[in-house]
Amino acid sequence: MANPMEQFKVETLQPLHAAGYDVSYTNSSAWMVVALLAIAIFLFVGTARPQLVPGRWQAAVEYMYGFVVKMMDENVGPEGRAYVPLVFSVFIFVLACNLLGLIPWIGAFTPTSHISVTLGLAVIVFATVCVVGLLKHGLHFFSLFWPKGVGPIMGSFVCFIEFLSFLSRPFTLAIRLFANMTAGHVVLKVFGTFVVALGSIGALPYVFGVLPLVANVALTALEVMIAVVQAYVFALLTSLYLNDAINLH
Amino acid sequence: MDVHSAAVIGAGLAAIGAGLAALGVGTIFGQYLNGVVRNPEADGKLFGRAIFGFAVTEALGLMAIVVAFYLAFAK
Repeated sequence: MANPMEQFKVETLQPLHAAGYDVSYTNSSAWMVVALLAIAIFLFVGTARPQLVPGRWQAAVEYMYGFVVKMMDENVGPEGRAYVPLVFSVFIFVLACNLLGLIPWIGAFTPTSHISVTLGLAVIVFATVCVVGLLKHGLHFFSLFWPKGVGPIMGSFVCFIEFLSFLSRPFTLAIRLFANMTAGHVVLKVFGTFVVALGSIGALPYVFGVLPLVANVALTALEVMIAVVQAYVFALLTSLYLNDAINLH
Repeated sequence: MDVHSAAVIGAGLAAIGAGLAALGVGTIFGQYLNGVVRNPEADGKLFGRAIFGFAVTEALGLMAIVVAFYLAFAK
């Protein structure tokens, strides 16, 4: 029986080496390019001929953009408008990677099911938060870790914990997305093997295979929801972290 | 017991953590629904917070899943 982890194998399509590092063009890179093309087509077609009363495609683009703008306005305030492009890019890239990986065609691959990809995105967010906070507030940025209205002993203890939780942010951000995608795809493929195993009972072929197939359809619907929710969560946490850096607290 | 068997059993034990996170996620969405039923107009505000709490809680369960994956598949 096929190993459910096989789908996460990164295969080299075009070997490349630069400065002693392996920077080969892999199926992961190929799927990120597919995601970028899908996003580009979606946004270009939606904004090609803008009309006062938007058509269906333009309405879809406007809804997604408005969704991110509203989230930034609610969580960060007026100063958050400058970071809408960053959050929108991260949101739509994660969403496209998650959704394209769910389509069960041959060679399907989800770039966001690899921690190297999600950690890369999370480090971009984390670095932006640190740079924005330090540029905007200078050394006053470190008051983020100090709780208000607490004595010095308790304060230094809480400060230490806050600092650790701040440092763990990029890792939790990356692991949340990666583990969700990995676990979801493993479950789908495990149920896929159940279809074969139950459907190949000698006395009554095909009949019992229907049960895990139905479960798999329902699970695919759940996975589509999780793909959207995780992209939203990634963008939401990005906006909350930016809020910490911009407004302190 | 050889090391591989112990690792597979450990992976199964680590997966218990995901079930415990399910308790937390269920509590969060239960309380969210409770709040929305009591005050439907607060839905917009509560939804974002519920999703935030869900994300933070779920991350802890997923740590357990990652440990399980590591024990089961990393060799």
